[in-house]
Amino acid sequence: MSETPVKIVVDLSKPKGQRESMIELTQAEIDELEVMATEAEAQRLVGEQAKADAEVLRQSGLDKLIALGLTEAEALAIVGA
Amino acid sequence: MTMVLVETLTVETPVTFIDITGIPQDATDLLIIMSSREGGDQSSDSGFQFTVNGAYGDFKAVYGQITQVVAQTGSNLYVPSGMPTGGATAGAFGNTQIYIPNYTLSQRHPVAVDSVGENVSDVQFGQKMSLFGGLTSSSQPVTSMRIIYSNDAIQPNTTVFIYKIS
Repeated sequence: MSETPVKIVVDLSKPKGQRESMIELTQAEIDELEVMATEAEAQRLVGEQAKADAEVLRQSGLDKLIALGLTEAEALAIVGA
Repeated sequence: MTMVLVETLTVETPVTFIDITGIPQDATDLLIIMSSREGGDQSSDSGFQFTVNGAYGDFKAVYGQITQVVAQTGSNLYVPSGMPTGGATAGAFGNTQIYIPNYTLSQRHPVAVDSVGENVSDVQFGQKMSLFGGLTSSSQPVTSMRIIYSNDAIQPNTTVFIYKIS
């Protein structure tokens, strides 16, 4: 975003109709935002890697069950579709 | 039980934060219901973060797509659904509920969040759902909350309903 990001402040202590205001973020808030974005991206990557790892293990288990003689439907009933 | 709609907020231009301040202290429970969308491309995540009284909490999240589920623990977890991206197809808006009981007490507050969103169904993790819960770091009565989308901006027509329950 090239423009200064903004926030909505809803102050519930004020009367209705006077509660909302749009305010540009301070430099401290922009700095905090960058830290948050980095943390969120790191968490997303960890989560997606964990999902990918789980899928590899699931498929490995499925293959081994089928190799033991189970049908694919039987194996899927055990490991989940 | 009395459930009172305190405020309805509709986003009209893209914003990064939604700050809710001056939360009235005359009820028992606080409920935030949100219909939301963000402006990143479809390959970005669709999550948001939030603070209570200016601080994160100790949270655990379970989220995933259909049969793929992941659990995470942290102090600054993002809710990884409920805010589909600009490239979302079937579900232009996601939904989220944030529930905080006994929010006026001076104690760490349990927070429960459930959220569902859809990005683009044919990309990996395109459909997301999450259960998210934990304790706030703040042990003061809840007077403010901040909803944050850090990668782009919360889009117009995102709507936030603030209820108090007593």
